[in-house]
Amino acid sequence: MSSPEEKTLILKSSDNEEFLVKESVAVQCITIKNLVEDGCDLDAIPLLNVDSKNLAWIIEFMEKYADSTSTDAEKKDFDTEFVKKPFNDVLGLILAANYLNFPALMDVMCDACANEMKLWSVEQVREKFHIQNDYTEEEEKAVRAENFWAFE
Amino acid sequence: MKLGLKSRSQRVIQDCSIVMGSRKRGENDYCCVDDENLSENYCSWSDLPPELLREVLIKIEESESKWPLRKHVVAFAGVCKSWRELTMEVVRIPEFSGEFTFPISVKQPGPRESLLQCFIKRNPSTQTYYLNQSLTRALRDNGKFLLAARKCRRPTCTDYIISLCADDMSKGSGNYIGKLRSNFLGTKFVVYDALPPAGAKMVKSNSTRTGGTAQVSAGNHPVAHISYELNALGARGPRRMQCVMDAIPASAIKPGGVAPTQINFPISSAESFPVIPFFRTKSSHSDKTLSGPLDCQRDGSLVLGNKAPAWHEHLQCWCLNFHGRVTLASVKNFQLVVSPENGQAGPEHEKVILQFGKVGKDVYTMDYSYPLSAFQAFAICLSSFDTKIACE
Repeated sequence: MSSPEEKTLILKSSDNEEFLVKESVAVQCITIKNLVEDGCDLDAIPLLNVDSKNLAWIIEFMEKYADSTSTDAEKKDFDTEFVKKPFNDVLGLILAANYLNFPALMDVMCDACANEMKLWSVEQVREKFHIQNDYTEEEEKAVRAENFWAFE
Repeated sequence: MKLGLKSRSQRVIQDCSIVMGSRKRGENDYCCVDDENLSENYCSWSDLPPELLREVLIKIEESESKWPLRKHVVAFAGVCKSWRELTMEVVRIPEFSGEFTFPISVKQPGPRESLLQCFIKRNPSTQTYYLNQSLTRALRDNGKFLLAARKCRRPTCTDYIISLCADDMSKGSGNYIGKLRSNFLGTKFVVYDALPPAGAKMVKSNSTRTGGTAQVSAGNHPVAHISYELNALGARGPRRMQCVMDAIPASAIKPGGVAPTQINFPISSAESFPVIPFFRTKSSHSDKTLSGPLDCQRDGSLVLGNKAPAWHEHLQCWCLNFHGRVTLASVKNFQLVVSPENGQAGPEHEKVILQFGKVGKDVYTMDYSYPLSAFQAFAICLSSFDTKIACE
């Protein structure tokens, strides 16, 4: 017996592109799940903080993870390829995953971010994150001594 | 913004009350809200809210749980003060994690339910001892460097200076942690800490500067007394060891007890005391970590004694069960347990708190657990090298 025809949602990106996604796939994003439960899904669901580039990726990710036939190993391989994006795109996906409340994607993207950051020096981190070094000179000496011990 | 980031007015930034997995519904949460400040597609890493940065840090901390990669956690804390605060929230002290992270970890109690495995290498030509954490199940490996000690003979005593840096043993430097001093006969030792034990009042130094940081006296705070003597069999039997841990109350080993946990190396001004350049960590027992000298006065200090070896008639030697962690016979080998002198002998007097023994030429394993810290354990083991009380 076939299941009743599954509902398809229309997700609209911030730049007004529309994507069709099965409801069972889209509700991996808890934000969307809440909207559906509240009955806000009659028309296209506007996702004002997610542009089409990110939304396309997110849908690709959602579909892989909703696929009950994919094994853990396949998902892992998929993740490895999925995160091979410019670092600023990794950021965009973290923010989007947070906005959409999509834990699985959040996990994978934070992992990717962590792996990238581990390769940077402290100065590079500060530059990338536009952070002012607020340590005093004495504290900076302490930081250096601490790192000397850690890297010994 | 508390991260010290350049402020941005774009609405790419999420509502700061949002935490992953536990979003609350609010009227601005849904995408249906008309947002006048729509972002352009560009966003920068300075837009990453603290909660998300925390998630990334947790990933780093979990994946780099072992040395040498754990250095990335330390590096993360060096970026700026708010990143340090974040790191301190995420990192757990050795008592709960079984891991060293920041240098202050060597002053904090080891894990309660297991022995933290380390090894000591001696360099006889430079009279230097190196304490490393074991990183594998091997009896010795490259390890993670923790502390170094150098022997300094004086006319009436011997000092072992203990430091965070093997190349810097000067007492005036920020790396100085403490020392072990033996008496002339090598039968009695005192362990001195460069800092007052956790919970102790700071002793005022002569300088009256305060500047918001605590004044500490030059570092000579006795925290343990160790003594060796022959047992009833004289030199034919294993020696008797006793360690009175002045800075650890006897109550520490009772159910619900806590041991003093040093949470900071104070940064003092250059004039009052050598700069001790490390930072505070958070203990999970923020209210209870101030047990210390006052508790010792009330409850008595913790007393440790060496477990009596059994005479093995067939092998004709004294034996202790080191569970594979000690492979060569040596008079220096020992296991410390809580001495029943504190009260009735109970199951807690069987649990090995510190064990030390030879595994190779100039290589010894040192395994310790709560309530001792790596520093205290190291100092006790150094006394075993030095004592002249021996067994035939």
